[in-house]
Amino acid sequence: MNGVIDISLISMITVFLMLAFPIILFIINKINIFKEFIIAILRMTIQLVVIGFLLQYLFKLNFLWLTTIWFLLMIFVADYNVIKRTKINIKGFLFINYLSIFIGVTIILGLILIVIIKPKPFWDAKYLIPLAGMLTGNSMNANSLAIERFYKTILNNKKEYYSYLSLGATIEEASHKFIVESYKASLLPTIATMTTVGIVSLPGMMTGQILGGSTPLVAIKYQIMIMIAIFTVNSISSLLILLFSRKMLISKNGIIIEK
Amino acid sequence: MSLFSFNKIYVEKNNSILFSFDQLNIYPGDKVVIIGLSGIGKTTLLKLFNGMEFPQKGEVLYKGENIFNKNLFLLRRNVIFVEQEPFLNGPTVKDFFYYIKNFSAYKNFLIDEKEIFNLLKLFSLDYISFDRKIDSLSGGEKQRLALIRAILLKPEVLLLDEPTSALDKKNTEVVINNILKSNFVNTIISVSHNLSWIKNCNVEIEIAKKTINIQKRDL
Repeated sequence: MNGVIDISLISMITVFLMLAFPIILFIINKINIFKEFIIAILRMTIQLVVIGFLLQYLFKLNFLWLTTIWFLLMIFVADYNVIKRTKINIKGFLFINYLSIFIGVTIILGLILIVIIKPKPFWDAKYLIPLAGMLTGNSMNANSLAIERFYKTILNNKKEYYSYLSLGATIEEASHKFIVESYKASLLPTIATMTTVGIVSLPGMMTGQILGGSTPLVAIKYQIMIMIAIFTVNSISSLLILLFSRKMLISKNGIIIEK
Repeated sequence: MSLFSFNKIYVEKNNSILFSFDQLNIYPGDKVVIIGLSGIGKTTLLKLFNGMEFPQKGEVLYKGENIFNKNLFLLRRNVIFVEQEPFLNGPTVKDFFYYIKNFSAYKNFLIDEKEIFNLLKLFSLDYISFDRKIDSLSGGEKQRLALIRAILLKPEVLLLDEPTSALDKKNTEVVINNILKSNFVNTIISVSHNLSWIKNCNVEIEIAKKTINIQKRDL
């Protein structure tokens, strides 16, 4: 592998100078989004610089315990983001969401590292951290969609749910429709991405690998693997969060618990 | 022996008492009507019968057993509740009747279409075909269809919340004849404001002053 061409610090200045284009366009068109725009650019830069240094050390040290802590922390951030995004404020939700992301990501990541890529050691931070990051990030999105849809549909269709319950349906039967609908909603974006991948644009991971010196044929193998892995993780974690949420939202007598 | 007995019931909503009472017994074959002002807890009392609501204190027995100690879902199959403005799943009338096959409680239940047609006729709905869209039905038609399905499932008890609220005088009589004066379902427990309905019930439970008054009469 030939390393990727580094960008010099001077060139990085040019990178930021590119922003002159949007700034001029905003001024001409009197579009007042400077505050959001500047915050976003600053956050992006600071976050990436920090993460760049952290990853540099994590990869170099490559301690199992350190990588594990990083992995667990990453899931916590994803978990917390789901709560923030969905605004679901139920005791214990942080825990069940953590658990469902953790289970989905760990199973598939283990499979990739131990059986498929087999780096030495299999927990090599250089492989584990980026892969775990991609899986966790996608699982976070899927879980947000799943539970957002589930709470919305079941609360908006309480009448339908209770109509089944009052005929003698079990909780599982009466809520099945809502679970299925939410599960589908959580998986659809990944399905859509898989359908168009490569046609509209090259995915970031593949672009990065090609720029990094991999041949396109190696890059697509990784891309295929990661897409299938993402889909599989999502299929596990969003189903788990739906089943856990149902347990929390509905009492054992079938009554929807409202705060 | 009583079908339902309520002992030392205390029910509250939003931390304030709705009603409380010592004893209520319902016997097989009773036609019960719950009356009282709006918001006084009639529907809550009705839902105590199938565990959709529960008392903060006291116990509800069905055939001598606390309903929360037995399989509540099985109880609800035998004590079917029909809402005032029932939800009917579609898209068609046929789908509505067949949806119950999704529930394990009806695994061995055979849907007899001839019986459905008979019931449709009895409830003056014989003009409604199986492929009619649920969305195109009026409130009164939906109300009667929900009653028909409930009867079709042959429960031991029907819990009816304002079963004639969307019906005109003629159709109210039709429903009274088929529910209160017939024996499709033996025991009926209802909430109603309709005088004709109330007159045809042998047990009248009035909720007032945070308790209940029971009146029994021969029909």
